[in-house]
Amino acid sequence: MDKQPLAHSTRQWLLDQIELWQGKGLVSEDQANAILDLYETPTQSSARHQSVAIYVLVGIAALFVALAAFLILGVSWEFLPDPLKCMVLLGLVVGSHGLGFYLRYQWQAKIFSEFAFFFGSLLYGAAMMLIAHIFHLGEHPPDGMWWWALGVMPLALFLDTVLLHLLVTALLAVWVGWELIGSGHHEFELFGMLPRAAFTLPIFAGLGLAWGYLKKSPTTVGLYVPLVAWWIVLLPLAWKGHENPTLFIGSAGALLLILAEVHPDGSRFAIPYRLYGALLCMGVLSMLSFHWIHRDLARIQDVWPFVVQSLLIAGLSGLVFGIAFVVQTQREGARYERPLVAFAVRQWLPLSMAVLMLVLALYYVVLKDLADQHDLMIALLPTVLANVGMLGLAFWLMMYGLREDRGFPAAGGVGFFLLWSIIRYAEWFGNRGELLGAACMFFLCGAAIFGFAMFWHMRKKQRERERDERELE
Amino acid sequence: MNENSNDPTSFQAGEPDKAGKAFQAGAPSESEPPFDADDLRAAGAPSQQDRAIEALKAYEPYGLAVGVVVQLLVLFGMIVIGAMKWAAGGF
Repeated sequence: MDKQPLAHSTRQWLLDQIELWQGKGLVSEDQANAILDLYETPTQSSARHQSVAIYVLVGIAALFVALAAFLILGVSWEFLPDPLKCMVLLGLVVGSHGLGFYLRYQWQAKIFSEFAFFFGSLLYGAAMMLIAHIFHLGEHPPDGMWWWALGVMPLALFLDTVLLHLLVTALLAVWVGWELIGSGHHEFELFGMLPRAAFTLPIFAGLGLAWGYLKKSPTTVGLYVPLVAWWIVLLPLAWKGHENPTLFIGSAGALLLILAEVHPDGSRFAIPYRLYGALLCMGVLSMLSFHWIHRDLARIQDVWPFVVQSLLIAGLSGLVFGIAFVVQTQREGARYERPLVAFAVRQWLPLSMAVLMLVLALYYVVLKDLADQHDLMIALLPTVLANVGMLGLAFWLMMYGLREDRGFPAAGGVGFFLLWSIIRYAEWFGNRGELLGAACMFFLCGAAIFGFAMFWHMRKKQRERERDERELE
Repeated sequence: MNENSNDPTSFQAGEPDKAGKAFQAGAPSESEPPFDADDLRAAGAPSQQDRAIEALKAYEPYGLAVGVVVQLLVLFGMIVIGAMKWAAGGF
């Protein structure tokens, strides 16, 4: 069985704990050795870190060599006859992949074989472009990216590292962006029923995510989550939904936060969902916290497209939450490990975000007829709600950092709170120069953050005291 | 049943109690949930995830070959379509 990787600090913690367990007679020396034998030794860990460095360097080298080969072909392009060009391109792709097979199965050099396949896949894309150039096959350029990703995906799924997944996600991100933003014309396909909206993306992303969960690779999940978010955010453009997309993007962020909280406590797979969900919600709430944005939203005449979008994505969020809740209730032993109330309580902020975005969309529909005369008043309630949402998100991130004892989300929450205070300062006191009011606001913000830091400090001390007491017992 | 089962130092993974469940130090057998995936793992049985990874490993050469064949088919397809277009004077 492969030994599990172990960071130096974690190893030190484990050694201390094992010493404690042995001291209390909980584990024997043989059992302690068997536990330690599950994990890699410091030498193996150091070798792994060196391998990662070599891996990165060889990856960059493969990229440069592919670029060099591409440029050499470009220089000699004019002098070569077309059949020879095709033969050269096919030969390069076959040769690179053949080298990959040789390294993997003849020399057992798995890491280097990954670079050979990566190099071959880069040449495959270059070959596609050059063949398309020779035969003038460029009617719909985004299709080229799709075919490129299609050829790389099977290799990514059967190799061991994230290198090919990095290439696939980059290609798919360009494809989605090009298809939905760049190509300009969104002609309807499927007998005029559906537009070009990169509908095969969920299949690619689903395979990549399944691979990431199967191989226990949060990094891979972290590549596909922003890709899916990118696709969802751009989807309305396929239906010519160019009206203000702010609320839809906020709903997409809420959906990602709901998905993050569906994961078990402390799961590393939840991190990408939470990171990108929080970033989307932060951006949207920062925009919506300004009064003038709501006055603009209130004046949109054709509100139905963005109401339909909001309803659809809110429905999807509700569905995801419902399925996760039902699965949790039916899991054997769920009541022992994770009470259902705690599961629902953890979702208070993600669900609130989803509801806020839906309520704002419906609010503008209901008050549409009054917008021309009373836009100032109409914008007041959503502005207040958005500001409360900003503070709520900052508080939630700080509390999440406390709950999981992780600094990054807590720092994100504090940073977002500071951003809110700076934005409000600029909006309320920027023009008028009311220094006293601004000073008061900053003083309150400083006091709030200091209070939070003290609360965290006290909580940490209390936990340390409890742990010491347990050890003494 | 192990007569020293209340003594945590006598814990041995995989040894069954009355309910047929592997021992878990400190957990009373009455309130324990029935056999789950963790117990099977502790007993050395591969999980569904392990089996999937093994299957992925077993089919690795074929999967890689499929990837290379797809790439070559796409390139050949482009050449064939291009050649047909060229033959029809469609440039």
